[in-house]
Amino acid sequence: MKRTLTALAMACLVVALAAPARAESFDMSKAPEIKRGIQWRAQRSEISLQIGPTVEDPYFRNLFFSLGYNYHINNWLAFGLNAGYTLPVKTKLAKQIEAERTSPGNSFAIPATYFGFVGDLHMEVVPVFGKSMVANAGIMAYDFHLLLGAGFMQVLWNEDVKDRIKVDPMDFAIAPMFGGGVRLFINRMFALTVDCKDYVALMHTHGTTDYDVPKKRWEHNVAVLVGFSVFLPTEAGYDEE
Amino acid sequence: MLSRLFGFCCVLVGVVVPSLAAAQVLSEEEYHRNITIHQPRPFLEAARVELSAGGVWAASSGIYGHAGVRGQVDYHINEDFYVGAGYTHLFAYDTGLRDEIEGEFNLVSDRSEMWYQALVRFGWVPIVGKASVFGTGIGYFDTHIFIGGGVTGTRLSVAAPTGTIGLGTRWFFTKGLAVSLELADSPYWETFLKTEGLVHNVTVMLGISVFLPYNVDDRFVK
Repeated sequence: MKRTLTALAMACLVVALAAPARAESFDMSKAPEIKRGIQWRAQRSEISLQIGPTVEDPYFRNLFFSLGYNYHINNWLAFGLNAGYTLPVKTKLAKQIEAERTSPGNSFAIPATYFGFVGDLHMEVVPVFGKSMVANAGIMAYDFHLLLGAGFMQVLWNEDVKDRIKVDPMDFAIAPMFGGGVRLFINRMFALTVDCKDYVALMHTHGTTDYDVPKKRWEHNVAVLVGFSVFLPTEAGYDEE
Repeated sequence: MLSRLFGFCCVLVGVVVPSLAAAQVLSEEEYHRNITIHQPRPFLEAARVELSAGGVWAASSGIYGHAGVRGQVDYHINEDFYVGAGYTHLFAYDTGLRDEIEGEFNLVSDRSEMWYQALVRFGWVPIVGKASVFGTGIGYFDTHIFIGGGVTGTRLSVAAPTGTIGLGTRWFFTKGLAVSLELADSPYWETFLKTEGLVHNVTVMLGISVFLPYNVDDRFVK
């Protein structure tokens, strides 16, 4: 009887000692820091492809195709460049003017300009960033950024009037550029962007029915661009402890 | 002998049972990985009425520019969906393009000025989030999209049929007060002097929203 009690006591002791030993092995100081922020942009290169139209153009919209490179010095400041080409799209208003001015035996092509090569050097500041819950399903990091720089634009006259227009049918403009946008991170390597840029250029926009050309004017050329970005290196750093 | 055998069995049970139990316990890495934190949604919209007022600018008016004021009432059915109605009163101004067309192309513009839009809408709030400004203060916001319809009044049409689609964001200052920014396209069918067609009316609105009841208790919303 005494031996039986001793054996039972030993079994209880083994059970009692084994369970706390497991719990004590969970060292919470080794747990990953949940609140530690990810440096989504700092010291990373961003290669982007952007596409989008200019808006508010009376005669030709310009469809931008642009490649870009940004180097993010830290999480809120970057420098970069964009270069691309635009395709002209004639507006409904321009088509109506051409139809109204065309008479039998005398076709009328609208004397107006559009862009060819475009590019810019810019600085990007990221004042607002964070994360959001999307459709109660997943968390997505994002930022709002501001752009400031200088643009370069090739200004071309409508192909159908370039032999009749009374100025050089090709011109170049240096344009101050400013804008802003939003960047949504799909993961640590890829992001989607929507940017709105205003290139303020001293340029011709149109001529008269006699193909005379008024003086150059400062014009706002607002483009809305959607893009896809790749960040390198593919892994982002973390906030310092 | 029997006692010894029983004692041995007890010791064996004492060793095996904790081992089996330990096998069911998560490893430390798994334990850390499975830690989840639930944060309460700081700004709740369900079963609240949102009253908004703000200034409107029509970004795509072309020959005429338009600016105006809008009043909007939305009822948030739950945290995800809302229904609402709004009225926008618009004021037109010349952009210079009409003078350009009439002066340099010797044509008369037949576009007309808008003076109001009345629209109802159904909205979805798919994104809620928080933002840090230069890594300092935290702000809370949502992003919503909406679709609807109504009528537009112009110089040529008293009530032209109109659709609307857009997106917006609200940035909360308190539990009942937010700044609201919306971008919408509300195209309407217009009969001009010579032709007829769809006119896109892209508007940007910046306003203030007040949620009623003004204060609501925190609660966990999944």
